[in-house]
This record gives sequence, structure tokens and C-alpha cells, in this order.
Amino acid sequence: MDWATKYRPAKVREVVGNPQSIAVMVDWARNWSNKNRPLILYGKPGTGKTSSAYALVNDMGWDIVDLNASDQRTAGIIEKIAGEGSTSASITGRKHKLILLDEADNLQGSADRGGAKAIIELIDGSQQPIILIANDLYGISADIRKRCIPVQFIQLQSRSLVPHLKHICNLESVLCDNEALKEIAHDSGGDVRAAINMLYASSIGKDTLEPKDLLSSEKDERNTKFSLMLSLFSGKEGMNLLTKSKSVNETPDKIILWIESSLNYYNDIEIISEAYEGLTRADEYLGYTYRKQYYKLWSYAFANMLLRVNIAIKKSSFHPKIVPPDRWQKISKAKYQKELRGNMIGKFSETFHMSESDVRDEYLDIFARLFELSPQSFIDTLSFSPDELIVLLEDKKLVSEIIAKLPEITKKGQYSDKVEKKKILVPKKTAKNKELKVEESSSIKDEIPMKTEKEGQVSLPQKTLFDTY
Amino acid sequence: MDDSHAIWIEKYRPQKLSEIIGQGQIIERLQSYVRSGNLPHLLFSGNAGIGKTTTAIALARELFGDNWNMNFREMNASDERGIDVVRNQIKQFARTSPFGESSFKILFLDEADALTTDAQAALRRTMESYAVSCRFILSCNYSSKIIDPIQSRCAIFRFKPLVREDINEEIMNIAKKEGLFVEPDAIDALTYISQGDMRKAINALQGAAILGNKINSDRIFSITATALPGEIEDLLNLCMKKDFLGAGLLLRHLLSERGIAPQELLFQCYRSLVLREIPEDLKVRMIDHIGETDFRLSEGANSDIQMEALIARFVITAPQA
Repeated sequence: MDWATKYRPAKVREVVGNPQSIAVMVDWARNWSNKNRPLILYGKPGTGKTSSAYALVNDMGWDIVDLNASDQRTAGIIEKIAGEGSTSASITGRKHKLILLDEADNLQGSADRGGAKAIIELIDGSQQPIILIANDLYGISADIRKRCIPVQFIQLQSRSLVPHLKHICNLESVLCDNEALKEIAHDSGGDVRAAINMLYASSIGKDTLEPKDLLSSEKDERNTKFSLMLSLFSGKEGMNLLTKSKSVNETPDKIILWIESSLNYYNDIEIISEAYEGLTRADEYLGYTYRKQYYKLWSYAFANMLLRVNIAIKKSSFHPKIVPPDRWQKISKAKYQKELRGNMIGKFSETFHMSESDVRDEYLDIFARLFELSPQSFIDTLSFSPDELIVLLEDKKLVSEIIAKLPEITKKGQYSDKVEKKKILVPKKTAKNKELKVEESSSIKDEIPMKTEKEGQVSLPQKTLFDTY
Repeated sequence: MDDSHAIWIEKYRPQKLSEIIGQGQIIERLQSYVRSGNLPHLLFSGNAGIGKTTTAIALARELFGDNWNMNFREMNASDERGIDVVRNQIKQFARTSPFGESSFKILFLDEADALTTDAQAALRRTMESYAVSCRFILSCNYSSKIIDPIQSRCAIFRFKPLVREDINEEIMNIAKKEGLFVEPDAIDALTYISQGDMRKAINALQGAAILGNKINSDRIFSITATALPGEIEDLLNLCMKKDFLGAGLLLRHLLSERGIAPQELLFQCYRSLVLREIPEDLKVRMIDHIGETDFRLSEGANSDIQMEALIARFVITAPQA
């Protein structure tokens, strides 16, 4: 058995790192009642989200049903689980069954609003504790997010990882050099599983481990990427840059972001604009590449972004900081805005029976004006969230004024109850038939904690929650 | 198949890990996995033709012995890139028990970077759930196109690009067995045309060997429909001298009489420009002209018109003498 699996924590107190998040989970579980909102555990890979959930279930003596992206997560299957939970638990007083929706951010990749509804329905209807797990909190739709309590898992400091690795080495009787462990901890970038896997991969068939035995992996990459940036902004090297770019295990669409973020440190507008000429040209090639899947064009993208920037910055003796792109933060913000807009337009499109593009192109302005005239009726019909209203009206102050005038009950729930119920009932009818089929072929049982193999085979022609279309 | 017609890239594909060239450290590590009979999930990254698939197969052979075929499955992700392939075919293979005495089997997923992000997401739990009975070896050109959660589950092996000595070693080895006389300049030619891709180099060698057992660089260049490095130099020199007519003549010669593919010619010009000692701003403008032409050709433009226009742009861009 590989060590990452072997040394997966069995108890909550064995989980490495994130003590506050764990405390929130334990507290949530101990005081759980069906009024409690589900948790969303989110964070980078290898920070202990799934492990903590399993350890929690162990500690609490609960059962678990694990729905992850490797299975078809059809509305039918999910309904069945939610249904079973809601009847059995409360009446017979049997133990709780945690419904674990792993990789929940991969469920919203599509515009599949039906899928989101099934999850919402699960959350609203379940008598059982639910935990969602995701890498990207904003990869989960706002409608689901606002029903849950987010709990963040952050990456471990490498120094707190070393003792854990040492502990494993002792248990496995591998004599391990401290420097080697430090190196592994550092290379893993705080990803506990990656660190344990690296340790495992480096020590299979060995009883001692020294730095020279380590698999060269992440570290090399970081160094070359960094040194490419250093040579670019040193302004000395010209041609070598293209040769160097070949040995960097990083695609030009990432490198261009690194260049851009360092470029922001320059003050001279002429240098900046000249450098951006190169970047925009490179960006065109990147666009072509993805459109045609013709990766040869990457060479020209590199030539433009490296050489032209290099020529431009030579005019100054300034050396900027080399920093990782901050674009990611901006992207995730933009993603959230885009999602809000999409949701809002989707609601209009559904309610008024017109295509989303019609709403967007021709009716949005009118709707916004009409909304200002009678906010209450719009909110009743369309169940907007405050954030969606801000996007619609493009006026934060106006939105807060409108919300202040609304009756207390609507404000809290963000949407009215009767609409909520209507929305839930619709998919249930269609899902009922499918449920029967699932019962025949699927093997979900209360006793089996993990999802069993058979369900993967259930090939129902219905939409799966985790597919993109 | 009659041995004399066997495809050399298969005939001389290394069967053992120890026969694989140019990847010393990686091979050493894998051999120790074989000795212990244990294997983590692996991620092989690197360019084409440097031994990723060969290594995976050799590894399976040494782990599983004669029945390696039963416990090893190769899938190319670029053929089927969707989520269904993960949920159906891959899971199907992963969950059935291994054949014979082996405690696990290996799924080799070639070009895993072609899998959609959704498919990759579906793969990560499959890798974990069935880790006891199935180990995954993923291969890709760029590991950065593999999502982090999968990287976090694999031991990452970065295959090194092959250099002249590596190509030389393998080519001389084959030459000896096939009774070929390979001149040193042929190795240079093979290194130039293959760009570190062993498969390309061996293919070119076999092509050249059909014409006779004496292999030199001219033979290699003629068989691979590649312009001689000197011809590319001539073409660029004529452009730099602003001799449009002369450059046009040479271009037509290369394209129609020599039958060199326009995009191959572009790539050769690019490589030559990269190394050429000219001012950087001139260089980047010339490269950009090539890029634009390459893009237009990929869009289906007429290659004769585009290539002549490229020469014209070169001539215009070249500085006054």
C-alpha cells in the first residue's frame, strides 16, 4: 500500500495542520442537527480536506456516503441517497450518515443548472450531515455556496511537515537524512500528500535516504522558471532566452503572466508600452495555438514575449522584482462576477421564456429599470441574491437601499419560500422514474461507506452532475 | 513479418530498462522499484521520442515477466479525451483483479495532457480508490497541463531531452547490427533533423539505409525532405542582401524540386534565425514574419503565395547595406 493511503489519519487529532479548521468541523459535527448548514471544505490539493472528513466520520461513529467525480453523480443517485437519509435517520434513530460531495467544484464546470438544483435540493431536503469538498470555493455556484459554511484549508509550512515525514520514516524503518526531509517538505509546496508520495517514491527499495536519492521534480522546474525570468530582466542575455525557454517545463501562457507581473514595476511608460507590444503579439499566437491546437506556434509566442520585452527593458538599468503572477486572484474575482451575471441572466431567461442571449442583448436594461420600480415583486419571482442585484443595477448604494426597504423575512433568506419550493418540485418529478432504475442496478447500501464499484456501470441516459456539455 | 522489413523503431525498441539511453537517473530509480516489486503512481513528462512509452513498457516487462501483456494496458488519451473514458474504460480496467501472481497491474495513459480538465478531475479519485490493484503511469509533454491534484498523487519523472551523444550511441548500435557504415556527419544530420527525438532519428536512418549501406549527411537530408542547413543559410543570406529574385528562385527550388514541406522549411528558418548573429530587434521581427506565415498556412492558406510573401517581407525588413 502506498504511504499516502497507509498513513491517512484515522482520527481527527492525527490530521496534520489546519487546527482551527478541524476545530470548526468537530464543533459542527458534535452539535449537528438537521438545522445545521453543510460545510464546504476548500483549499489546495493535499491540505487534508478529504482526510479530515473521513477522520471526522470515524471519530463520530457516523456512516459515510462518498460521491466523487469519478462516479456518475446523477440526479437520481443523489436523490436516492438524500431520500434514504431523510426517512431512516430521524424515525429509527440510527446513526448519522455523512454525505460527502468530493470534488464539488467540478460539478459547476458547465452551465448545467439542473445539476446545481439537484445539489441544492439535496442540501435543503436532507436530514443528514453534508460536507462538500472543493479546491476552488468560487468553482461552486453561489446558490449552493450561500447555503453552506465555508471552511478553508491552507497549505502547511514546510517546517511543520518535516516531523510528520520523520515519523513515517521511523514507522517504515527508513533511515532518513534530515536535509532530505527538508528538501521534500520544501519541494512539496505544503502539499502533504505530494510530500508523502515523494518520500515513498524516493525510498522504495531503500533503507536509507539521502538528498542525492531524491527524485528531482518540482524544484528543478521552479529554478528554471525563475532563472528564465532573471535572465530576461537582467537585460543582458538576448538569444539565450529562446534556448532557455525550451528547457523550462512551463507553457508560454503561464510565462507571459510572470513577465507581465514583473513589468508592472517599471515606471517608464515608453518601456512598458514597447514591452506590451511584444506581449500582445505573443498573446495573439497563444490564442491561435489554442484555437488550432497547433503547438508549433508557441515558439513565436516565446520569441515575441521574451525578445521584445528584453529589447524594451534594456533601455533602463532598473531590475524589477520577480514575482508570481497576481493574475490568479484577479481571475477568480472576475470568475465570480461572471458567474453572478450568468446566474442572473439565467433566471430571467427561465422565467420569461427567452434565450439568454436575448436577455443579455436586448432586455437587461429594461429589466433593470423595471426592477427599480417594483423590487419586491421581482425578488419574489426571481429570488435574486444581493450580489446579483449589484450586477444587475450596477449601483451598490441603490441595492442596499432597496434591500433595507424589503420585509425582514425576505432579506434573510434572500429569496421567498414559496418560490424555493416551486423550484425544488420540478426536477423531482422527472427524477422519480430514474430513481427506480437506479435502485435495480446500483449498489448503494447503508452499510457500505465508500461508493462501491457497481455504480460506475450504471449507465443511465440522464445528465450527470459532473459532466460538461 | 520478414525481419529485413521490420520497422526499426519497433525492432530496436529497448526491451529492458537497462537498454534505455539518456535517462540514467530515472532508470536507476525504476530498477529499484522493480527489485522491491512495488510501484507508486508515476508521471512521465518530456518531449516526444525520448523514451517515455518505451520505459513504461520495459518497466511492465520487468515487473510482470512473460505475462506482462495481461497486466499492462496502454491507452492514448488524445484519442478519447472526455470524462466518459475515465468513468467507463479506465475504471473498468482498474477495478478488475490483476492476472497471475502480480498484486497489481499498470495502466499507461499516454498523452495524458490531452485529457479534459473534467476527465482529469474524475481520474484523481479513481487513482486512489483502485491504487491497490492498479498503478497509473501518465505520460505528457508538459506536466503543467496536468492538474495539481493528480500531480500530487504521482511521483514525477522528467525525462531529459536527448543530446548528440545519446543519438550517436543508439544509431551506432543499430548500424553495427544492420551492417551500415555511418559517417560522423550523418550523426550531425540526424541530430539536426530529429531535435532529440530518437524515433525520428531511427526512422530517418532506416529510410536512408534503403538506398544503400553507406550513410552520410546528404543521404539523410534527401530522405527526410529536409533542407540542408547550408541551403537555409543561403536563403536567409539572399534575403539579408535584399536579393528578392535570387531568394525567390532558391525558395521555389526547395519547395517544388526538393519537395520540402513549407512548414518544415519555416521551422528550419526559425531555428537558423534563432542562432544567427544579427541584432535582436531584427531577429524578432524576422521570427514574427515566420510565425505569421506559419499561422496562415495552418489556417489553410495557399503555401506558394504565403511563402513568397514571407521572402518579400524578409527582404523589406532586412537593413540597408
